[in-house]
Amino acid sequence: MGTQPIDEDKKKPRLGLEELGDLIRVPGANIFLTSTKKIFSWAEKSSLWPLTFGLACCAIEMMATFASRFDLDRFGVITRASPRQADLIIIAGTVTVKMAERIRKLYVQMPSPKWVIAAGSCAISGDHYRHIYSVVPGVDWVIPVDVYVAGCPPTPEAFMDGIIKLQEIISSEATNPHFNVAAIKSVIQDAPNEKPKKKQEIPKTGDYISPDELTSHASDLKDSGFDYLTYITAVDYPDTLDVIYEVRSIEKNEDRSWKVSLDHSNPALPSISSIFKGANWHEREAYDLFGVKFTDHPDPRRILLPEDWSGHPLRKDYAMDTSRLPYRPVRKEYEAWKEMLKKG
Amino acid sequence: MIYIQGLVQSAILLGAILGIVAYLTWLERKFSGRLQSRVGPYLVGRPHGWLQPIADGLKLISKEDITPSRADRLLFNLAPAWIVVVSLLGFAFLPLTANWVLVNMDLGLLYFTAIGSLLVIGVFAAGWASNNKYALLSSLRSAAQIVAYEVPLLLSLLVPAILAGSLDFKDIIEAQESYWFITFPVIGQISFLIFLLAALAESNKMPFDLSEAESELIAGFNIEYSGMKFAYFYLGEYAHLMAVSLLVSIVFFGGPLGPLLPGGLWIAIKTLAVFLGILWIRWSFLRIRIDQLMMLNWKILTPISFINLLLAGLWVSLNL
Repeated sequence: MGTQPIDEDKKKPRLGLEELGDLIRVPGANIFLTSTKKIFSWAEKSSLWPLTFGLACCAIEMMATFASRFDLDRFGVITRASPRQADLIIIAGTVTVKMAERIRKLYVQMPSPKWVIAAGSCAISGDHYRHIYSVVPGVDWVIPVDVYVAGCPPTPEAFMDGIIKLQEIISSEATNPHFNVAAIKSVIQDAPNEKPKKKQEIPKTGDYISPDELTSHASDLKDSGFDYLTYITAVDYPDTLDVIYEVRSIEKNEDRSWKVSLDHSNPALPSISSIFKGANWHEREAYDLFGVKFTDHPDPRRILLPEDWSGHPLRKDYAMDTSRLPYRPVRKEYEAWKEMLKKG
Repeated sequence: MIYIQGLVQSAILLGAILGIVAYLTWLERKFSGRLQSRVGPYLVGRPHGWLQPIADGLKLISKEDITPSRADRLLFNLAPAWIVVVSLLGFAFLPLTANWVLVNMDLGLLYFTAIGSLLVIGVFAAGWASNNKYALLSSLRSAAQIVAYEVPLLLSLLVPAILAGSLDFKDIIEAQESYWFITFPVIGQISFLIFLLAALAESNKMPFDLSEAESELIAGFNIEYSGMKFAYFYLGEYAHLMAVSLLVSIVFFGGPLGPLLPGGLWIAIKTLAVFLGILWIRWSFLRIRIDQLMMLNWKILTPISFINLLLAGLWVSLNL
C-alpha cells in the first residue's frame, strides 16, 4: 500500500517561548530564552510519564519493561493512570475500531507537549489483522505517532530503544509526528478491489442434507438422545454458503454433525430454535456474521455487531465499510483542535 | 524586628521543607525500586538520578494547565493551594531541635491534629470541583475515611500526652528523658501501632489508599489535575507524610534526645527512619476493601484505643 507520510505537523504546540522572545527586547534575552528552552526540553525528556494503557499482548512486554529486570524508572519513566498527568501514550497492541475512538479521546485529554509511541506490528500497521473488519490498520490513522517500535511483540530492549529514540527526538526538538493520510486515501480507493482474485477448489466433506429435511432431521436426532446443540456455524465457499450443525449426546458420549448447502443470493433456512433452545443465539450469530436468514426465528436481530451495521463481515464478498472507520471525524476534530491550540 | 525574624525563619523553614519533600519523592522511588529488586532513577543526573526530582518539577511546570470546561473554576484552582498550605502549616508547631520551634504553643499537639484534619476539605473540594465521577467517588471515600480515622488517631495521640502530662511538644520531649514512650510496656507500643495505622489511613497511603485506588478510580480525586496543580497535590501529600513522620519521632521516639549527636541530627535520623518504615508498609501490603477499612476502624482500632487510653490514665493516676 502506498504509504507516503505527509508531514503536516512540523511542530507540536509547545511553550511558545519564541513569541515571548519577540515581546521582550532586552539584550541577552535570546541567550536566556534559548538556554531556558534547552533546560525545559531536558526536563521533558528526563521525566516521561506514560499512561497506564495496554491493548493486547504487546502490553505484557511493556509491563515487563517497567518491572524489575529492565526497569524503565532508570530513565525517569513512571506510569500515571490519568491521561491528565501523562506525557506519553504507548499504544501496545491491536487497535480495534471501537477502541480507536477511546484512544483518540485519551490522547486529546493529555496536556501538551505529548508524545505517542506505536509499539508492535499491530499498532504500526494492523499486521495480519489488517484486513479484519474491526481493526484499524495502524494507530497513525487516529493519532499522530512519534516513534514506531517494531516487533511482534517488541522485546523490552526494543521498548527501551523506543524510549531513548523519543528522548533524542525531544532533545533535538525535531518532533515530526506521523499522521498516515496517504495510506488512508489509498485504502479508500483500493478497498473495493480487495477481493480474492483466485478461486480455489476446496474439498467439501460431511453429510449434506437438503434445507427441507432440516427440522425433521434435527427433531429425529433429539428424540434419539442427541439433546445438546454444540454449535451452528457457516463456511463461505466460492460457490455455496454452507451452514454446519453439530449436536451431542451426553449420555452416549457421541457427536453428530450435518451440513446444509445454501445459495449466496438468498441464504434462508427454517429455525431449529423450537427444537433446541440454544439454537436461538447460534442462529443470530450466523445471521450477524454470515447473513444466513432463519425464517421463523423468534428474535431475528444481530447479536455481536451494532444493529445499524451494514453487511455481514465474515462473507468473502464483504468490503470493509470505510465510513465506519474513525479516521474521518477524528481527522477533522484533530485539525479543529490544532487550530484551537494555535489561537491560544 | 521580631516580625522580620519570624518571616525569615519561616521562609528558611519553608524552603528547607520543599527541598526535602522534593528529594523524599526521589528517596521513595529508589527505596521502592530496591524493594522490587529494581534500580530506581539512575540516568537522570549521575550518580543515581539525583536530578530526577528537579526534572520532574520543571516538566510539570512546563505542562499545559487544563481546567475542565464544566468544572467549578474557583474551587478547582483553590483546592491544590489549600492542600499545600494546610500540610505545610503543621510544621510551624513541631519542634525541630530541643529548643527551636517556629510557633511555641502550649496546645501544640492539639493544633497539629486540628490542622491535619483540615486536609479533607481540600480533598473534597478537588473531587467535587472536577465534575468527574471518579474524582467525586474518591473524595467521598476519602472524606469518610479521614473523618472515621480521626477518632483512633486522636485517642492514640492522647496516650503520650497523658504520660507526659502536657499537650506541649517541649514537655512531651522532656518527659522522655529517661525512656522513650515507644518503650513504655504495652500501652506505648499499642498506641504507636494504632497511630501509625490511623496516620497511614489519614494520608491515604497503602494499604488504605482507597481514594486513589488505580484499578477502580483511575487516579482518585486528582484525576483531572495536570501540570503544576497536580504537583501541588503531590507536594502536599509528601509534606503531610513527612509531618506525620516528624510527629511520630517526637511523640514516641524522644525527638531530639539521643547520645553524642546534636538534637537536630537525631530528629532527622528518627524522622527518616519512620518515613522509610511507612514506605516499607506502603510497598509491601495490598489495598483493603472499603468495608474492611471501616470495620478495622470502628470495631478494632477505636475500642482498643479507648481501652489503651483508660489504662494509661489509670497508670498515671495510680502512680501520682
